[in-house]
Amino acid sequence: MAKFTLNVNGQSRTVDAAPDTPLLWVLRDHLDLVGTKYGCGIGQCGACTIHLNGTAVRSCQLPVGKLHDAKIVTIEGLSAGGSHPLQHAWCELDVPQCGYCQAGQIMTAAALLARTPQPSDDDIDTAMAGNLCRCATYLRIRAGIHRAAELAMAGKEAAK
Amino acid sequence: MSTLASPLDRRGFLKLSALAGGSLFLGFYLSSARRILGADAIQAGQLPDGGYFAPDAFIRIAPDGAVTIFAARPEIGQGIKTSLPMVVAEELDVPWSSVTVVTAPIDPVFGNQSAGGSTSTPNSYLAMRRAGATARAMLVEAAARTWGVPANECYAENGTVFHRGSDQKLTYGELTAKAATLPVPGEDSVQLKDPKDFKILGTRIGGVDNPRIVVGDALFGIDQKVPGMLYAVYEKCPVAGGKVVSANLDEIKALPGVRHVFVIDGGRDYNGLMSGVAIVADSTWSAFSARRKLEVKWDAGPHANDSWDSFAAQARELGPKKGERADRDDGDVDGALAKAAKTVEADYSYRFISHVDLEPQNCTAFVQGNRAEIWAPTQNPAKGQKLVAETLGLPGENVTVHMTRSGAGSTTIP
Repeated sequence: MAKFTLNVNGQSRTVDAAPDTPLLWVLRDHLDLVGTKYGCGIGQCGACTIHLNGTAVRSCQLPVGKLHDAKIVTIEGLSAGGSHPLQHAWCELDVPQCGYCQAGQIMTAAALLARTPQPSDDDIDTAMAGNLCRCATYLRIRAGIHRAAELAMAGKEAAK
Repeated sequence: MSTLASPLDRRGFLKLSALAGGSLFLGFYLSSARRILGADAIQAGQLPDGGYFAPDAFIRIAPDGAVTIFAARPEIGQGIKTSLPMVVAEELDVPWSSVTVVTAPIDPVFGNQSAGGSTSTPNSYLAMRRAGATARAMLVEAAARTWGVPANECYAENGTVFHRGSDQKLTYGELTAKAATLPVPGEDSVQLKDPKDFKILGTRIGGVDNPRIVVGDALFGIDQKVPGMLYAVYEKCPVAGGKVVSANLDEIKALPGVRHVFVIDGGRDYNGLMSGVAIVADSTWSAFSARRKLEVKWDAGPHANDSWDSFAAQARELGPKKGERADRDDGDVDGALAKAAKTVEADYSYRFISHVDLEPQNCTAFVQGNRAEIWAPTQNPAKGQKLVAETLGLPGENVTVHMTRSGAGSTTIP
């Protein structure tokens, strides 16, 4: 066991954990941030996706001992009060079915929109290919990302 | 309607009130209650007993007009937590915006609380309509008595009762005290709406948990916590009916974070606990890490040589033979085939398909003395309650199972 100080959702959090503990379990068990989901534990399903320095990564594959001061953002820290355009779009289009994979879907999509604000269907399919949904909400996810892009654009126009 | 204890009697209401307002919710850890029900529902004061109109198990109307509808079936991605309350709200005739949906406790007063075989909607649809319509009829009656006019001169719409002959109107909230004193009418006497007048059914309404799903709230079974809890993994025999012969328990017990490790003999019920090794640790990762070092010698048992090929061979052998028992036997198959202009013969087979829901199988338990409280993403919570009571040797009433959302289920996976 060792103490690690992490930068999670803009806050400094100290945990006592074995250095090989995946970030996923530090978030869920130690920090009670259970929005990040455990699906497969082998980096194949995408349910545990978080942002590490702005990039969407699988938290089940990140040992806590190697994170240092990297900036970690989870679904709980994506926006204040669920105000990210993707979160609005997901509710507006009723994207979730069982909902279990959706935090991971939204985190991957948020990283995509941050670098490609107006993605094409191909951009979306490529970026989202690693996030599995057993209810097969893929078409609604794609529509949700397009809608979020529209909402973000409208928000920028309004702010001008 | 067999899925609803009906007509719902006073005893049922009182029982539910006690459940929802008293003993059962006190039995909850408030943190977990908040996790599942949402802090809003509790802070709004809708759950504690007092002052609301509860015409049947599924509906509560508070004096301020807030409507609580209990969702009694497991939500596994099929949308039932939203759709059945929509049916109730339709017949009750309230604006959807006034409705808070709360997951029901497990209680026979709610009828069948399983989800499977795509049966929840067909089996609950009429019962939910009657539940809503019964409450509406009682609110109309309460208004009619208040005004001293016949009930058939009054009608309900959008949470308000109107009098046709005058401009009098009263909101459902204003009628709760009076309505709560009225007898519950028999379900057959209650008039259901004409579907052409539906305002909620047939419209697109988003899942009630969506706003909480998109911010990562603790809605699922795997998200539940109780203070100081430990984490367990269970290595089951890879063959159903097999048993543990031996395992390196001492070595596992010495690993970091491991608190307990033990062999469980298991029972003979293939739906119950089968033989295996349990590792209990102070975190999920400690338990997972220890499991990787676990070495178990198994006696695979009577099914050691079962295989798909052997099942297929057995099916080929048994297929042409006459069965011992006919589940269905009507018409003249042989005669029809003999007279047919063309006959076609083919064999169809389908391999086993695992559900592999994205949320791994899990449950959270709080056991204290001779009581157990369980939170689980199960499609059959009532059966789970019975299984837990039998396995632990506890009286059934001492085992409480709470439904959570499930990260998919058998019926939702394409």
